[in-house]
Amino acid sequence: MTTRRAAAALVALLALTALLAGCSSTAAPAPVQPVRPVPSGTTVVAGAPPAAPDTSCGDPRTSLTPTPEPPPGAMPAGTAMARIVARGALIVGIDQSTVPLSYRDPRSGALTGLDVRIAQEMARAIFGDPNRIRFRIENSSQRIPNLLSGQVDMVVQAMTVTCERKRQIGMSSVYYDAAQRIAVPAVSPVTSIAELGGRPVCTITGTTSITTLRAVRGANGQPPVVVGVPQNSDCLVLLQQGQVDAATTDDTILAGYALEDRRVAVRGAPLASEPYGIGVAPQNTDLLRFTNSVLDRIKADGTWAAIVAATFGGTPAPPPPGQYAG
Amino acid sequence: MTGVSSASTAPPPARTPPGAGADEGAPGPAPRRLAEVRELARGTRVGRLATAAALTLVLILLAGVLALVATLRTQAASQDVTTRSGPLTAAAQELYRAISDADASAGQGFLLGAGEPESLRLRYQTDLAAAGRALAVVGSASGSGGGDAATGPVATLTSGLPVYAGLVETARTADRQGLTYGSAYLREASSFLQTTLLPAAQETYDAQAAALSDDQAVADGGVWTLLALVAVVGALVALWLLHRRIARTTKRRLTPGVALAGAAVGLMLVWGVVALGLCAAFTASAREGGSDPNRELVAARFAVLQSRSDEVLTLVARSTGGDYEQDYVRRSIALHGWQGLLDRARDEAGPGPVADDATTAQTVGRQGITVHELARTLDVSGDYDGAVALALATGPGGGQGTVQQVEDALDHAITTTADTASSDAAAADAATTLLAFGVVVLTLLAAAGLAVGVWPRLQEYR
Repeated sequence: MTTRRAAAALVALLALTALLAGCSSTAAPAPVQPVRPVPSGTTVVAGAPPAAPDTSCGDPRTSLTPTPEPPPGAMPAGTAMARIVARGALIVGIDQSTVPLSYRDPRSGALTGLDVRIAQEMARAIFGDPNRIRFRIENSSQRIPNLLSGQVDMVVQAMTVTCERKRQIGMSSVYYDAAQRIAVPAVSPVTSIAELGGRPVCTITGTTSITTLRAVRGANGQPPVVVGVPQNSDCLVLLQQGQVDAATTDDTILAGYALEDRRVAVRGAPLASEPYGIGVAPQNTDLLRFTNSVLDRIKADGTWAAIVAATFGGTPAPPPPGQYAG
Repeated sequence: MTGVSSASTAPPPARTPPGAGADEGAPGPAPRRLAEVRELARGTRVGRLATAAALTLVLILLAGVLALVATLRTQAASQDVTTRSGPLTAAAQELYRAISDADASAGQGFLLGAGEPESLRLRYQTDLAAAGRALAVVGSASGSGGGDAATGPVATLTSGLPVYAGLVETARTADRQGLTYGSAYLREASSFLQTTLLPAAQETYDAQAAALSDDQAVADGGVWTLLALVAVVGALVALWLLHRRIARTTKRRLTPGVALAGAAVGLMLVWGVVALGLCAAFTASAREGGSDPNRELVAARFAVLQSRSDEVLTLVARSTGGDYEQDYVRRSIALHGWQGLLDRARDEAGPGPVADDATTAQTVGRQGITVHELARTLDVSGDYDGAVALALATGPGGGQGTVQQVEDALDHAITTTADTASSDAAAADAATTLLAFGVVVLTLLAAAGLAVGVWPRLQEYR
């Protein structure tokens, strides 16, 4: 009888211990995680880097030889320029959210920037009035379709000249030589993309920059973690929030970051050259030759230098020479 | 009871007390046999009466218990509707509305910049406060669709709302300093709200609405009520049969106790049918005229708010044909399309003021889409300021004006249906007042009446 009672007490004790142990193990709360939102449409791009760029057209910088520029308002009959004069305004496809290329001035609300000013020079050349222009606001993926459907006469929208694009549309000679570089917090010791193997680096989806970034390998053999965002300013947000170590895209756009946030620095050697050209519809070769002659003129007469200085400040490098054939 | 059970087993003649035969005093075989038969019949008759009385008692008690269970379940459910799931559903709905409205208001204020009116700023701040309060209400009701306290939707909302507000203020500050990345912060804030906070609020609302639906399903009857009804009717029939048996065997036309029991059970039947019937009817009315159309209207209201956010963000992002615009189109189709949310709300409500409100929302909302298209055309053609001015115009032909009219019509309809739901739910709750007490008293009364009525009859056989 005594042994049975002792056994019962032992069982009860064991059960109680197990119960208490169970209690304490389930009571441990999950660790608290910080809430870190990311811009809409942020994705981590993984997988094999894309194929090598298309070089089938030779040097993509080469455009059609310019024709002598007619005086404003007196375009030769039957040309695309004459049709634009008849219409009364030049229709230009452009973006309104890329500082400092084409954006709404936060104070005046007016469109301004490098691309806007170049487009205004085109209107000035056709009409003698830089304001005879109608902007059609479009995103990057709409640039070529809107040209092909005739909704815009030309696209001045940070468009890198590539063989792939030149197979679909006409592209002018280079009006600005941008280069893909990196922007990092000013306090960051990073000076080159090679130091960012395995680290998160932001860039904009659907651009030539993301193609270049995906081919990069860090000094440690690892590729950077490619964080793609839909809009230029999204990379600056991620950089400011410390969610990426660096942002990489055209130095023109990175210069915009540094203009708005002095704690951001643009660093490193160019990862890729990004020569900007003006896009025109493929059948309007007359407009393309005209555009090239206007570009040559403004590069020569100091207008170009004034525009670049107004956009980026400082003394601009010499303009990229026009390369022509055909 | 021992007497009853031994009698009910139909005692064989051998068990008849020896003295019983001697009482007859007739030694002849024929009279002796007659006495035995009479004895047998008498024993069987008392046994049958006792059995019937016992069965009736059991039936009365069973009916009482079942009626009590049905009443308590109905009461608990209808009380839950008025005091718990109803208000919690309303709180979850308010939570969703508030954060969704905060998103649209923040975007609008951002677009207006220096021209942001004080009223819009106050609207955003009131929305945040309303969201906080609704979240506290939903969160304090433990196990009420909040899910796991550490990871559930309520936790997501509690930890996310301050982060959201911080991003909005960063956006405002940047914009105030003329920095263009302000819009990127606002888009990040909005995206966080749309992809994390609103789904959590939706989850909370869905859980509450489902709980309300469940309560309503219990409150309008169910299997327990049916069982109780059968048992009560059975008890009544049994009492009637018992009374008739006593009347036949004893030539008494009225057995007061049994009659009293019958009256008590009858009253219980009438009271129960009327009270539970009213409760069920009011609950059905609360659901069909209230919470069902309310649910569609609330979904429509949510879609209006989100399409408003989409429109504003398209302008904030200065993007064209992007995700926001696609989202706007998708939501507009869901809202205004054939058999869309507004059509369904109107059909659910049936003819009346609610359907009229839904029709108004439909008509004005479709005009609003035209205004939106016009604003998009202006924006795409380079007249950004014109697009912003049109989208934010508060007049009857302006973007904000039409949206406000749609919101007002929907709010009116939502209030109407919510009032119907809560007043009918209160009526349903009131219908069963005292019923549980009545069931207990009447059951005891019936049982007592039965005992009082049958006991003397059983004694007569001794």
